[in-house]
Amino acid sequence: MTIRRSTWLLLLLAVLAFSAVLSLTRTAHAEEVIHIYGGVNGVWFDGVSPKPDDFELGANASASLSPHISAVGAGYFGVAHSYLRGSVGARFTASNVDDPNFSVGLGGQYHFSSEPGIRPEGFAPDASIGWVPWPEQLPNVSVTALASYNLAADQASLTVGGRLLFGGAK
Amino acid sequence: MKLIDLFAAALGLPAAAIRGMLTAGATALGPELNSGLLQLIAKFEQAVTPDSVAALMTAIPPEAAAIFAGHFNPRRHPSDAA
Repeated sequence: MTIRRSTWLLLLLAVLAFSAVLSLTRTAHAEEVIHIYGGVNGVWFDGVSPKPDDFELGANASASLSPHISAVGAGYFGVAHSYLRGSVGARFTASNVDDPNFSVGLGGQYHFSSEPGIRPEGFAPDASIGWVPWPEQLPNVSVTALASYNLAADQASLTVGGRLLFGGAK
Repeated sequence: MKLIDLFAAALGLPAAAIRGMLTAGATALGPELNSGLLQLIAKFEQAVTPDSVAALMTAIPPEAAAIFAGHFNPRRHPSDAA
């Protein structure tokens, strides 16, 4: 039996996630580690056009495990094309880690999809930007952009969105 | 016994599975980004000795080693929500 490379990657991510969750159960400050966001996205699947190819509604979760390393995941519903997609992976913060209002991340996620023809499955390296435009008045609100490239499907995508952090900004 | 056998036993997984996952990760990262991971794989393939354990610990970045030890040092990164 041949096991696909993506299956090994998925297993690796699962082991890392399991290790992180196991460790989180022993930490006293889990609320500072785990962040949950509600989100809305405009998505460009491939190529540049004035209008997004779809709009998405969903949520993101992240676990900041160290100043530079985070585990990330997301689940979204594509409104126009009626798809569900999910992703899980890791992100490395490349900007000043002590700035809670602006950051740049590099990483990769494994993507799952109910409609692989529209939102392909597989591993995709990505680059992300996040900005809290009004840190005093609305510290829980941020805007984000994510550029990713799905290696299996040879497809680039751009996601621009707004996020609401649940549970207060820490 | 190799270090990877010890690590696999601690996780309750076959050593071949750990080896396959690490190698797949190195392949996915590509030659420009995977040198650190390849170095880690090479150290995992050494026999368990005090020297090899010490060498393995130096190959693991301190932040990653702290994570596996359960010592978190969280920050808030808006880009993690993208």
